[in-house]
Amino acid sequence: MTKNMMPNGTAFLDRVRAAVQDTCDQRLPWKELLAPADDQSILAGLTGRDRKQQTALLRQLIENAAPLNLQVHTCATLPEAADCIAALARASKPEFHPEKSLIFHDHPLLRALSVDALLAKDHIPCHWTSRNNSEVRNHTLTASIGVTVADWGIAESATIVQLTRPGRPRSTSLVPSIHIAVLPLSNLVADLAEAYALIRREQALDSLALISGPSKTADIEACMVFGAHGPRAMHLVVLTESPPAVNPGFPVAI
Amino acid sequence: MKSSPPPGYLETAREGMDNACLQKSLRSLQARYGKGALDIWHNLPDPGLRQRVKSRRMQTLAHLDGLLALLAEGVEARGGQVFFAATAGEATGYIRDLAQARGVRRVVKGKSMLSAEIGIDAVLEAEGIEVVETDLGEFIVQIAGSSASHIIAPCIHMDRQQIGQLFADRLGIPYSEDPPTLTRAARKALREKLLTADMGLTGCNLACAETGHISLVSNEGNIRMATTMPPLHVALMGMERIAATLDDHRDLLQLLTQGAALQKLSTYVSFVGGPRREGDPDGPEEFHLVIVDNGRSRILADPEFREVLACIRCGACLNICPVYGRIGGHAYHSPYSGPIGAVITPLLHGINRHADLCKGETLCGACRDVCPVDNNLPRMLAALRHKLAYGDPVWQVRPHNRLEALGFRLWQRIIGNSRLYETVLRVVRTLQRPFAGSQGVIGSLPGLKGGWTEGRDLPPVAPQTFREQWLSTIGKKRTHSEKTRKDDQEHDA
Repeated sequence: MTKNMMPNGTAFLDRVRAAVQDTCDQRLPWKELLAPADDQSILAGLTGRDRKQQTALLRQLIENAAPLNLQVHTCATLPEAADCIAALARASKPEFHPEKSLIFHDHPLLRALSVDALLAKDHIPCHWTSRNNSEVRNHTLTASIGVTVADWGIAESATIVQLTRPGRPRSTSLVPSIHIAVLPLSNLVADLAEAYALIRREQALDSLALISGPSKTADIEACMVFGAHGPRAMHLVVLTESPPAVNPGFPVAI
Repeated sequence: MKSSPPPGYLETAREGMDNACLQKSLRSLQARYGKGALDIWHNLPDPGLRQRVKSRRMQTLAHLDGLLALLAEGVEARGGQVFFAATAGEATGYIRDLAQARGVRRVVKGKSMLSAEIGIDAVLEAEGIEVVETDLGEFIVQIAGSSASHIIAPCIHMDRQQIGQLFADRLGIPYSEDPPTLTRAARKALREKLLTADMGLTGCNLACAETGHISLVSNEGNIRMATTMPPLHVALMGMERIAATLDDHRDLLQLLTQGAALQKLSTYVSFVGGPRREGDPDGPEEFHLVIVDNGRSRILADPEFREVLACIRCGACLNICPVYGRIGGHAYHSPYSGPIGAVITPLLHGINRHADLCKGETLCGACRDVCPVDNNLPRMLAALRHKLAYGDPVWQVRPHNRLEALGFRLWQRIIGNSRLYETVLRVVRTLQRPFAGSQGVIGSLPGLKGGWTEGRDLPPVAPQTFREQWLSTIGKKRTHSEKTRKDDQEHDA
């Protein structure tokens, strides 16, 4: 099946096949085994959710976020969201590096916020994960806050889904002490089934991460501590009014 | 002929029972997580979920060859490399050669029981490579020179005072027994390692054949670090840890995080399908997936035990097992402890060698009740005992104790003959007298029979059998009342 299967792979898979083919009565036609799920009905349920339904999902998200120590901020407009992020930056304390700084996913939605202009007078530098920026790794390692866009949010588990894309590194949500994710309300879905249906639609799916709150551990005497190896705090800024960069009708990856 | 003893099951079990800190932790772990998982299963919105997932798991195993090939195809299409390792030696050899070829000096690990099963740490360390566990619990047991005693909570056998002292000695921080302070110290020390390592080495919780990804769950973020920051990522995957489709993956993921820690989802779930792509700002330059058999195909070929490969290693059975709950994980002498360890360890590493594990479990059935994929572990434990009693040529099992087998055959003869049985009881009643202690129980027996009383008291043979008691008390009254009733009836007539 695999074109360039290593020789050891062939012997390995032959052994696996031998183990099951005579003793297993559950072998199905291949197509049946991999029959695609009925995503169409799930996706149909996603289109044209009205404002009332979206607000109900947002309430559910906020409720489920609380026990995870994920702080949700609801902002109607881009300037409101920018103020929110700037306020979080001003109030934060640096952890690994003496100076505060922010690193932003290079995404039109975050560019449109212009948080850097707001923070200029506070002398808090803002950096971008642009493809031509050779300093992305260094800026990420020294940043106190990483700001990312979420492709989708999941209300049921207070989760964000991030697909890895050029200009949107995985480390932005991981290495800085504080993670702020921005999610348009139109991209909030109800549950994992809806999120998986959207993930399956993606062509050339690469790596992705589901993130539900700040990193944590309970390894010492089952005592919950936030801030293990990832961010010690996480904020989710939900934009309730669709920004221009986002298709309002259907929650496509942004 | 007695089988070769496993490495100190009884001794380690006793140590576990004497460890007050472990006992306290196990009690609270079981009170919270074992019962919590049962509650979740009882209140599932879709009560048929576990059964359906189990039947999909079995179908997946029946097609494992094709699904593994499909997974490999997906990973290779993205520029990742897939190595199929038939044995632990092949897996460690591949990783060692790779590390040498890339000049790796430091490896950061995400929690992986398979890595312990194949013994990769020692192989890399023998080449002078630094190997650092980054899961906090695994890091603690690593620097303590200990080993994990729970699948999900590796340092459950240590308390905050011990960890505080360990960190003071090894990390050079002022002594503290405050978990947040200790966690911050480890966060700082391990961040340095995570950001400078040459290789990230992780396990794989669950691959997805349909999309060609592996997926990893963690709460700490160490696994995302280890798979993102070093230039090289190697993932070790037990060959059965695969879902056919994304739908299967979703169901299994939810059962995994709920069974393991009562979470709707863990903090991080990452899907990794290959190395960084052109234009990706970070992620590893190389991705190697090592798919390991190491005895699994033998289990797969045996319909009696195939079911155990449906396991998703959530650890729920440890959180409910009365035996694990007393003896702790070290007695199992395997990366896999608890009821799942008592089944999988003998199957992977020798049924005779680990004979004590299946004999030590109680067959109470709690592990099956709590298992998210309804694995019938008690049935498999009993099947292992059967093989130990009678031997098994396919699994190369020698009868583990011929003397005991002879004893039971004799017993079978005795209880088949009531006169012989009663005679033997009378003899035993006389013989046992010198051994009865002050409580009326037998605390120790001489010679070979001593094994019976080593960890428990034996109730003595009662002065009367049930039949004798019946005849002498209730039987007499019954005869009397029956007689009276008969008299009354006669009178009425």
